[in-house]
Amino acid sequence: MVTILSALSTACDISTSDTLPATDSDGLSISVITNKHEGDSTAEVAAAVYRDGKPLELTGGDLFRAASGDQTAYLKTPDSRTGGYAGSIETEERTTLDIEIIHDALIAREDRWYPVDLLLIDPGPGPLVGRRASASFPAPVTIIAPQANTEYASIDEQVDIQWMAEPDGDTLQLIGAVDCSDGLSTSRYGIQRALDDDDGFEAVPLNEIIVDNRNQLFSTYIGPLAQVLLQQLLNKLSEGNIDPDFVVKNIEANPLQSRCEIRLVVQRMRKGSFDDGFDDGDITASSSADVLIVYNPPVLF
Amino acid sequence: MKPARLQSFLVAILCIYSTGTSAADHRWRLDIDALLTRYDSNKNSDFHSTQAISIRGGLYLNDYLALESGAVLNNRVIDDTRKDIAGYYQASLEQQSLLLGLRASHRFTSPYEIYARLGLAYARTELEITEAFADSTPPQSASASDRTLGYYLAFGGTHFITPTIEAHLEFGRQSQTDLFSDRSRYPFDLDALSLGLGIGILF
Repeated sequence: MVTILSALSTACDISTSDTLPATDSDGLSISVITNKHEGDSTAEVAAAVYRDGKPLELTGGDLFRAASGDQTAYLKTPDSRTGGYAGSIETEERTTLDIEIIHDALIAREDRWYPVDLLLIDPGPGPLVGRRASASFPAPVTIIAPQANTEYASIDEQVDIQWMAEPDGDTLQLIGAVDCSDGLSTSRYGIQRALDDDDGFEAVPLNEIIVDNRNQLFSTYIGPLAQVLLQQLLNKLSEGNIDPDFVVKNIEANPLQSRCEIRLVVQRMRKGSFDDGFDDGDITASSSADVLIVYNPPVLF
Repeated sequence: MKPARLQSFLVAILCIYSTGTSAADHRWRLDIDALLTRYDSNKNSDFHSTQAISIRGGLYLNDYLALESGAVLNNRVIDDTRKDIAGYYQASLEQQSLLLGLRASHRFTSPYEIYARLGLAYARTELEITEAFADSTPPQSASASDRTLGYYLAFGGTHFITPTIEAHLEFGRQSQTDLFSDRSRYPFDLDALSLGLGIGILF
């Protein structure tokens, strides 16, 4: 039973490529990801240090300090994307973000509940203190088209994305967060796609965004008859103490046949630099903007 | 109620009493309680429960009111082990208090009595932090203590087993405010909520 439910829950997962920064290099490497979204006064920052591809834990009072202009922030929140730490910082557009590993035993502990200045245990700075990286935010992204809430009825259509082009040679990518519902079940997934040039236009076929999860990619898909049998079995095992739509609700909606809200994010990215204390690194600063479009097929069943 | 106002109130009661009674009228009581105590600060601490013992002596001012003083001794209590960017840490706390206050009671015709206690609590609070880091260095500890004046409040019910021996159950709270405020920029308030079971002996 556990195996069946486990397979059920993973049957509709969308396979995506690994978006983690390159962390498989030998030696000491650093990863910094920072993004400033349209309309936000703050940039989100995540940073991590790796040794031989494995995240290193900062400890004792060592922490990442982010600085932009006269603003300073400390990255204290564990970040599952990088295996490091995250935070946010007030920043202007097109400014430089400097990241440095510092040692400040009090700042590292100031969120604790007890008097940390009186009961301070400071083991001193670790070996990573003093290492730096920096990155400049690229020009902000301004999306011109499609308009918000534009509706598409068929996956044979294409989404014509237009934005304000910039000549700086930065790279762009398109990220989509797709949220579908057929009235009973839901399906959520993401897509990621490189955009060719920063020339202000890209036509993206909708069938690259809306997927049919009843194809061979989903070999563990459970057919309607099996769903009925499974629900009956669960009813019997639970002596009726189970939602009669338990199986249906736990099978993700097929996006192809569902109404989907698609949040498209255009991200302009620029590589940064790191100091000689690291053997390798991946520093990326980006600016982004988003627009919400809707896929609404004419017949839902 | 602020401890300073409570202090003035207690002094006033004593002055009034001292003008109207003689030594021959004095009746005394002795209470010994076992307490289950849970500490709570105004920060996000999460102390486990601990045990304590309370010993109090009381002097009856009249049939309803007694002046009492005593002591509360708590076992050391630990907070949850937590982890943040600096490392793993755990706080532990120990508190001893001296009490001075009033006990007001109402005796029913049956062998039952209800009562309330209110007074000042002068407490010594010791806080200890043990911290361990991700590397292999052994855990390190630091401790500090503070003495503060706070207050206590308790309500309870009594069952007289004999005319001079009773058993009682009470719920109480003791509060100390601004602990370590003279030495730290991060003071905190500490409440001790307790459930007590004890005996009282009347002389």
